[in-house]
Amino acid sequence: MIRTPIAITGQGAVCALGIGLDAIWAELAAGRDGIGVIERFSTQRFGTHLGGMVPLPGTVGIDDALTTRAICVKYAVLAGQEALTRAEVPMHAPRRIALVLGTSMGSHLGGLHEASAEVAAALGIEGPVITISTACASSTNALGVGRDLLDDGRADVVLAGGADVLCPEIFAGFHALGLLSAGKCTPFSEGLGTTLGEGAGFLVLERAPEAKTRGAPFLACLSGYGLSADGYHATSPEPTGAGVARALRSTLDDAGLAAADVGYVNAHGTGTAANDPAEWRAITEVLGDQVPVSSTKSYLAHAQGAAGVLELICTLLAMEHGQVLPTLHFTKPRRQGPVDPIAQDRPRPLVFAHALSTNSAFGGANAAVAISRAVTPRRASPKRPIFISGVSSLVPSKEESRGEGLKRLIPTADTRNLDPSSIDLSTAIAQALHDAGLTLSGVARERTGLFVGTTNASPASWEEFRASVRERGIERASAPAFTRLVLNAASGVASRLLGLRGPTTTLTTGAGSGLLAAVLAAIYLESRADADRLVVAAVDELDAQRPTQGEGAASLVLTTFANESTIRLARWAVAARTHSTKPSPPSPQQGRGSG
Amino acid sequence: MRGETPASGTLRLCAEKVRALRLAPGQFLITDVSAAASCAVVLERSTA
Repeated sequence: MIRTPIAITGQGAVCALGIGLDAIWAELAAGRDGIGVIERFSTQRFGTHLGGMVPLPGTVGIDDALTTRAICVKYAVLAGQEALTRAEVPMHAPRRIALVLGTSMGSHLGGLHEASAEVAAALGIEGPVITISTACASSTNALGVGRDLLDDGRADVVLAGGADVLCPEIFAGFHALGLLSAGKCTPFSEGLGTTLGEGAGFLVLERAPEAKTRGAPFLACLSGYGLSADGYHATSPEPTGAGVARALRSTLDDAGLAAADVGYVNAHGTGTAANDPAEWRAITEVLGDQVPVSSTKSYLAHAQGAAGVLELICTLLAMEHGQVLPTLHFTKPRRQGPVDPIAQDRPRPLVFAHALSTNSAFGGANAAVAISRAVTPRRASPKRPIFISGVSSLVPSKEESRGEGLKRLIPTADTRNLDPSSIDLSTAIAQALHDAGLTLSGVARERTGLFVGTTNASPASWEEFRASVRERGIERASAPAFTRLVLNAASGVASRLLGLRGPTTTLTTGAGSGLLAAVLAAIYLESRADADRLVVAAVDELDAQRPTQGEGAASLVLTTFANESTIRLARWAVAARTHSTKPSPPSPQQGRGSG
Repeated sequence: MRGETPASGTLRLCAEKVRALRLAPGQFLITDVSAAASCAVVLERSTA
């Protein structure tokens, strides 16, 4: 059985290199990076002053958080409009066009989903709007979710990608973690540290036969994707690269590719001491050490949640011109770096049939995608039935302190320095696994993933971060609190405490985020061979800024194995907001969300 | 419970219905709608 290939029919971007693909390619081809001294906000109190800022008039001199979100939306709308225009997408059926937007923290101080809704409204998109937030893996993850929506027939066109803005708080957080390079970042080369950036990029994805029928442009196939969790640390990658390797293998398997088919890898390549060697180990293990590997962060800087899609767009532009992009500023190779980092100052002529792009993130989330020059038929795994083998619903109790429930199930769990969201989410998941009678070990951990729906990062951690800035100054912002501000921080903690190392994502739609996580998990698990079960979970934390907000968490264990106590997840749907979702008869009893 | 639980509320409802289905066969449709998307799942335990 063959799965319908997914075509990339359009792309659009704004980034440090310019506004729009023509401007961006001119810089890429000339070997010019977009990194310079940040002018939008003061970096006087920090040891470094460089960033990859979008050269967009009207965004200089603004540093308040509300405007940060407005800038994020502006970038996304510009990039999204370019992609839709280049793909010549007919807008006569806007309810069949979905938006999957990956973002990390660039539109913070307001629900991430609210920014996505503004982008969709500005672009005339009326289908499902899904926000993926797995920190620096967000937009690569979003491309995969977009692919799944098309595979499952939930949309006819998906605009997938991401957007993020560099603001003082994010700069301060990376500074506090000691991750910023004094000079321009030099991935895989001497000179440690990264340079932060910003921007937005989107791809238009369509089922290839339908795209061909309407005469859409064809850029490439999105031939596969993969996700994984390190389950290791809040910010550092698993040093052996095992998590990245799982995402790469999963991507190859999904695309039906062998290692030898891959002609180029666009690496996450942040330039940090922790990321680059771990990533290279993973690439070597999965693809061997002869594949050309470069990092376009040397051009763009690290565009956070938008990094993945922007790097893929750079790869697509280079592929169109029969080239691969270099790692700029390369001087002397580090130990444990690529044999061929394309260390030159201009793109290299190289025609390749397939390429991979990979990203890794805070919270231990990894995502990778494969693109193919030609329409590539994909082998389909037989669709598997989905069952629920364990459930939990947690309401924090006044009778016991937070975390006691988790310690009952996992006595070794260290809940110190964890925020309420992380503790409650982990507790709910531990209870659901217990309800399912599961104790994970060995390979079962790698084949058990975690899909989380939530609305905001922990308000308690936000307050801790803000208090550190108020009391000590932005140059001494709290590094531990900063690491907990990404939406997937709680799921990263749960992955680590409970050993969930399979596919992972964190998403939000505002209300209904938990149910959407269940739907996306079902779509994934039904047709993928890289997981046997996906834990679905959701968490809400009290928020002083939102007096009506309550707290609690819930979890379901989805599995492909049935026994006498499993319940069938018989059908699922995700659609535009006012779509009538009517599973076929018989009419079941109905329940509406209590949120 | 006090207050809204926008992310976890519907998943909690799913958990409740799964527990109910363990006790007696049946079928439940669970839906949720936000400004971003509408979602639905059907939980089912047949008598067979």
